[in-house]
Amino acid sequence: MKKGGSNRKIFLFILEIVVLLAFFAQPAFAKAISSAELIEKCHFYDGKEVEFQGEVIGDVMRRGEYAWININDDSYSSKNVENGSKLKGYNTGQSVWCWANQVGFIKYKGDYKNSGDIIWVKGIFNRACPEHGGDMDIHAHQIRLVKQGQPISHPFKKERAAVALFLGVISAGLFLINKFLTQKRQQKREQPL
Amino acid sequence: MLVRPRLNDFKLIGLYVGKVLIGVGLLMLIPLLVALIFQEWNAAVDFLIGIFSCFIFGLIMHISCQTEGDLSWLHGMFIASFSWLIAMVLGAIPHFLSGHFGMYIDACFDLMSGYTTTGLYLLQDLDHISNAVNMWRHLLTYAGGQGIIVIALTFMIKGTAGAVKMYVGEGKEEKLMPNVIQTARAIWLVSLSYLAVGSIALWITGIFLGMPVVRSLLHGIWVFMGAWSTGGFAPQSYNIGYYHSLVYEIITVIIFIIGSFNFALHWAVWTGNRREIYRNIEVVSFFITLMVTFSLATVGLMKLGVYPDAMAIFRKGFYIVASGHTTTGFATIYSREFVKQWGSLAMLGVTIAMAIGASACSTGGGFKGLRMGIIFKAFIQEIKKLISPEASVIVQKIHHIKDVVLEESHVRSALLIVLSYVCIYLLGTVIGTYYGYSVVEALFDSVSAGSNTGLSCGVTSPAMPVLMKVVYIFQMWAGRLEFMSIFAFVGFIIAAIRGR
Repeated sequence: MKKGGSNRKIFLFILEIVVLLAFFAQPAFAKAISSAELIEKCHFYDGKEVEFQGEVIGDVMRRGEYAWININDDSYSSKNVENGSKLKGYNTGQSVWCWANQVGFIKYKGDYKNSGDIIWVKGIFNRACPEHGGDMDIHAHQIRLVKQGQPISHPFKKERAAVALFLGVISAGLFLINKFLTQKRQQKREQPL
Repeated sequence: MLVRPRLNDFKLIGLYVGKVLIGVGLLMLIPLLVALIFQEWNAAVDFLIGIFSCFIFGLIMHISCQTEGDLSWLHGMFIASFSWLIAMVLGAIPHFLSGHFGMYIDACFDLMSGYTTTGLYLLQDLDHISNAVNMWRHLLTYAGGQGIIVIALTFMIKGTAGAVKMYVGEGKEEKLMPNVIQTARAIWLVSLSYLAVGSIALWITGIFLGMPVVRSLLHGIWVFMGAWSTGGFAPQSYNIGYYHSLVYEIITVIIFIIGSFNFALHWAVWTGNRREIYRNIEVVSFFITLMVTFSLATVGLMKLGVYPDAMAIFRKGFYIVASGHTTTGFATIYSREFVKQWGSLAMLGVTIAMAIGASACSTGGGFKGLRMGIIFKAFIQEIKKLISPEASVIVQKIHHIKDVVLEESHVRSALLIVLSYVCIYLLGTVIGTYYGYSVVEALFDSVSAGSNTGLSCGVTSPAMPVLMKVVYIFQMWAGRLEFMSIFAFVGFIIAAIRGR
């Protein structure tokens, strides 16, 4: 009886995890297309509805009722260099045109001091958008927050500061020697022959 | 007979290279200040290390190389070319310490790209870089555009007869004022005045585009520096495509076209000679070749139906061609779009525009409009000679600040430099093709590096072979200094080894 109850608990626990995973890992994310693929196969995806996911970078640029956001889906979107990620090439991403009220929830925009919010976007991909002077963009009709960003902590590098201090002392010493020698040369020049 | 340089020759070179290094260290005080303002403490420490390293090397050279001799042309040329290499190695310290470069050579690549106003970069995760490093990147292009020797002449070297030899060695020949140091200061006066006006224009535009005030100001200053110096660095990985704004694009086009003009032309207009704008051979040459290359790109874009309407073709096509022709390298499209959308014909149009490049004695690179004008006029002169009676004398004139009778020496000199550019363009293309890139792609990025443009179709990347990085660094360096200093550099080294 006791053993059977324990099995049931384990079963219920696994079931709970499966349900939670199914809830949070929205199936749409699995279909998200990478920016690299969108660029490489731009003719194929042109005018089609696509799903895209990545880190909001820089600014949310509001233009009246609308807004532009730039979203990076590179490997740095999960962990950037300032957070200790290994170097994995250039940033890559896509620009998204959306309603301004769709992006009101965005709190963190990726930069030196912040990891940006990770968002999921569903919209129409334009290889050369007729509305935006030929820009490659996604006109979003659905946007969701996947993971909120956070400030990046930059622990002070004390060893490096010590090196800087050491070099500073040497520089100061050389500066004084140079000044002394310059004065001496000047005095020598000014001495009557 | 080759004469081996004496100890005094090395001392002279060391003394002036030391001064240039101290100048580079002083320049780093600006990003240090930015780091302190924005509380980027680690970046501040990185810049302190960079500053003190420059000071130590500069002061050691200054102390140990004291001499009274005057500079010869060879000294001046060698100092100019050697200073750029040493300034690259030491200037790369804060870049490398930022942690955004895989190898030190990558940081050196970005430094040379900045100094030479090229705009190609190997920095990784640009979108998470500190304000201080971003300021350093853009300051490099701004200072490099005027010339690091010009900086030294302006602030650190007082009236020596040899100053002009270093100035010429840096690829500038125009003398706006009777004295070369006054000329250097005049170049700075023009550049700083435009910096104030251009940055404010971009700042206000940025605010209207939805950017916060402080970020918009920083972006305004940086984008101005990138545009004016025809450098092409931008603070975000999307380059100018980040802003999605026609107004921003128009302002940057105006800035980089003005920035690509000869400083002598700027000075002529500055001092009231406005007619020079449409009489100058470089301006005429620039607009003709711009229209020709833009037409070529337009035909290519229309043939493939890349853009939906004429406005989009003009907005994208003209921006990229003008950016390439002025050797700026700003882009409103992704690098791979050149290959995936634009196609070979449009890419060829941009490649030719980059190869021709901007004006002599400007911040730009490439063959230069003046040389294109001279070669074209010489071509016309030859045709006139063929169809005229044998006894007739055909005189051809060019107008550059004043009317100049075209002489054979002008044509020979122009052709020699153009040929040298063709050689470095080919060098990069051959190396790129060897490593498996298509000829069109290898040619595109090679010309971009050699002409100090900065547009890329995807060949330039941190993953490319080290040899290609080294070749591109050489192309940027040689292209910016216009070869004479490089020949002097090589000649000096050969003389030091084999001379008697």
